Amino acid sequence: MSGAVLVTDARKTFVASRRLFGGGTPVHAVDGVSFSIAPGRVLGIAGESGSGKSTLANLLVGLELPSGGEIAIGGRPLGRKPNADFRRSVQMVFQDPFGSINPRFTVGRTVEEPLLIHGLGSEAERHARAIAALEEAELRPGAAFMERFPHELSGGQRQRVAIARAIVLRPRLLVADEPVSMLDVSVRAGILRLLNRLVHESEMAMVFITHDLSIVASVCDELAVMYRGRFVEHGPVRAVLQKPRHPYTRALIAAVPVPDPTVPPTPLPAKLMSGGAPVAGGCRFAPRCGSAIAACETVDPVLEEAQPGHRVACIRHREIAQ
Amino acid sequence: MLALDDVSIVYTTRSGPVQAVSGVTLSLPPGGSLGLVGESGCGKSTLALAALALLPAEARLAGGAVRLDGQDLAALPEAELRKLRWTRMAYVPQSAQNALVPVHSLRRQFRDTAAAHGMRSAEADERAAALLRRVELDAAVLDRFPHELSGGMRQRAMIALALLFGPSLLVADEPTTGLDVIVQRQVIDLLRDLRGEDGLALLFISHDIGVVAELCSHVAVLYAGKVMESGPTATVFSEPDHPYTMGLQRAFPDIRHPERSIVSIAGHPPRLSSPPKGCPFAPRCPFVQPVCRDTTPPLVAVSDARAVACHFVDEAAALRERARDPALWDEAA
Amino acid sequence: MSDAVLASARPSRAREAWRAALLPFASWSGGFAACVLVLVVTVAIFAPWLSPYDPLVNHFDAAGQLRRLEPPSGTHLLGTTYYGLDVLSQLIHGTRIVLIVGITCAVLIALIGTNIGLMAGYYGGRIDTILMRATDLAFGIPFIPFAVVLVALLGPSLWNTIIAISFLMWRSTARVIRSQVLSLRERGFVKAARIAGASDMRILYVHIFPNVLPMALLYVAFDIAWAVLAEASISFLGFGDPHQTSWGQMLYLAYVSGSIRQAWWWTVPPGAALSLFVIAVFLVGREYERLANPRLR
Repeated sequence: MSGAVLVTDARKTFVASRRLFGGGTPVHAVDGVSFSIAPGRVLGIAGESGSGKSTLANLLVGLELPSGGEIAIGGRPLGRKPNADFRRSVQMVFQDPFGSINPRFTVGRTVEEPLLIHGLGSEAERHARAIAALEEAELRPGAAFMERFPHELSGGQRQRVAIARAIVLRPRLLVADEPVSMLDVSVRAGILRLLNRLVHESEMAMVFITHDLSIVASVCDELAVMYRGRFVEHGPVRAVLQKPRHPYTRALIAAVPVPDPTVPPTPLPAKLMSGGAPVAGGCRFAPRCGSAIAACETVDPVLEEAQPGHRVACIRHREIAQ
Repeated sequence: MLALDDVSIVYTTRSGPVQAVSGVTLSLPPGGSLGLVGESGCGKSTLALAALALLPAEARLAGGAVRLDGQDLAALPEAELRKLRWTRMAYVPQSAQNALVPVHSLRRQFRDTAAAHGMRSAEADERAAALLRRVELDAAVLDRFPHELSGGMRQRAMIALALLFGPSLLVADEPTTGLDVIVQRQVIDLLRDLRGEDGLALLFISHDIGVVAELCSHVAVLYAGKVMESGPTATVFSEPDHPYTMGLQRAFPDIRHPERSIVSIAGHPPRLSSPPKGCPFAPRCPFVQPVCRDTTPPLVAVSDARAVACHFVDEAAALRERARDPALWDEAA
Repeated sequence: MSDAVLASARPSRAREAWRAALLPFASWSGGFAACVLVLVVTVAIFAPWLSPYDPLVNHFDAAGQLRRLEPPSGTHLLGTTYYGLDVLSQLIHGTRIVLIVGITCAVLIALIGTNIGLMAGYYGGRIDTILMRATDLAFGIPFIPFAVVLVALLGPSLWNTIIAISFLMWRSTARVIRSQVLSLRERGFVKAARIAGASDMRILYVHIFPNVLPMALLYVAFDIAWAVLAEASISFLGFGDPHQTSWGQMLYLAYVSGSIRQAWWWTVPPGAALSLFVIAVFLVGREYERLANPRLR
């Protein structure tokens, strides 16, 4: 088996506005993305808002149906419509710990709900599995949390409940969509470490969606940088962070504030802010790229291997890496 | 120019009074920049509102004074305060990109703001064009509506609007939260250029120590409504003296060091409706000693510029060394 | 590592329910209003025992004369009507109509309005458009003429009045519930249920419905008041059930018999009772609104 998750040339096109006659302009939110993740591995997907990372997440969990390409999880392809098998094999953890669990459900009910939906186990078994999932999410003793309501819990605890709900079905893939960006700084590390441990101890794979490149190192094995619906760079997380090869990755890294006032911030190319829309048939980042040359307007670069396992979509990546 | 002197703020809630801020003393000289750092509920936003005399109805100044150029804001009538806001002190709120009026063009919003303080439309247009250029926006955006602009553009337009009367104090409350990193960088660069220009002082509130490190010359670390540590940003972050600052720093990832693991600080901030005895950070502190749970350490000056509220400030160097080990924080957690 | 378990113990459900029941007493007006409602309900339940006479029996004096328009006296505490009926007995029996109309209409309105709101908000698109145009239509129909026509077609009876009221008044409940569902639909817990494979019905009734329930119940409370007022209006216009004694009916009969000016004891009790009841429902509802609408907290 090639991996827990296999995505081949996934595409999602939205038609912007519904008019009476004809459609609006189509938006290619995800425009040909391919990757695979082995069990027990974490792929980070980073990008700005509008990069398509959230749409990609929605495709992976079956909230949206792809316009093209193939998504398979644990060898089961997502056909025309996700079936119960597919549903069981992928779960999600959301950004907002306050909106992501039902305020009217007890913690126990929230964690048991996926089991109920799939009609798994007797009442006692469901109860036991929910307690086990809570304890795996480091809410101990799990039984003490079962009868509580979300408003009695802190943000970090709620996120742990959401994680317990996500793992109770033993999915093959966990999609975490900015799971710590709304949490206090002092509890983030604990959640990241929990996710990391859950993935590495089980046969589960994880996709970790984020806009914050500074946290990917502590949770991801691989990192993909997404720009306008495509991966522009994809490789081992440290390699991408320490030796970025795509100008966009470099800009994203340079833009992250450094908690050291003695280090002057790296200036960003002026074009990055002012650049306009990409030219059809050219590189989509060229209008904002400080390293763009004339050829970038005519060649649409594809991902190519720069180092073993480290792929870049830029025609100048060798010069830039120097 | 801005001086908070032993400020305490109490919220009246249905479940009783909540001491959101207790005994905070801070000062911000003309042209200076001060960052207030802390996690949610530490009182940083309340302090920002107090600095503008804009506390909500359920909050009141229970002690101390807020002075702007020596003038006690509490002593001023509301009409005087209204005149001061915007002309002398300006505010960029959280999610300011949504603070513009959606149905009016920017020109209209600049003119309305100007008219409220007796500035003519022609002059407002002229100032607006200059300010928009200052925040690196094309003057043509004056005739655009907020929904036609990106989040970053709206945020910069909001800053330009705040500067309409050339205030001497700009209070910015998490102005970059929710923005993409590249846009955030642009706003930080802009604010860094603006601070100090014509003596503009910047009071900057953030949970992100990275942003504060880049933007502010001085910083105050808040916890449970109290100042834990304050001083020049460079020395506070390179040699933190308070265990909370140490933990916060270790909890923050540094993109330059992906190999360094980040830590979490065990436990929760105390409930401000029933604060614990002693140091507010004691229940979460890995270096806690019996004395910490009994007596509240006062904020004492350790050098000209730095002040720390910790019983063991003399041993700070040794504590810093121990705090470097992630295992210390894990054990506590 | 584990986050510390919060120290506070959770009050039991019974205690929570008790606290909710006592909530109106937090304010002076709410407490008074709650007392009024308790009184109305008690009187309605025990009406046959409390009322001195049968409300539909004509009273005659010793000389065999109809006791027409007698002012309050020892035998008739609130006097008699033009038809020689005991006003107090009519007033007491009127509480039963108030409760039947109020509760039945509120339940029907809640059922129709909540379901339409849930469907429109959750499915969106064409279903939403159709349901919301139907709601607009319901808003566009003037209530009294609609009720009069309906009762004229179906014949005057209490049930036809209730149907007329419920058929039109679900409109505001539907709109409010829809707007709540629109925001709930985007919340993570709904997405999580969809990802886990929950059916639309399960998401609507198991996940979303409990979250709109407080708002739906609040509207039920206000609907009780509206429905009682509407029944009184229909009865006052003479389209009520002639075999039932409702407060609106009392006012109607006082009016048509031409005694509305002289017989204050016939008109003031039902009028005052109606106003008091409606105000009480609104006051109690307002206290509970704080529970349902966090912005008022």
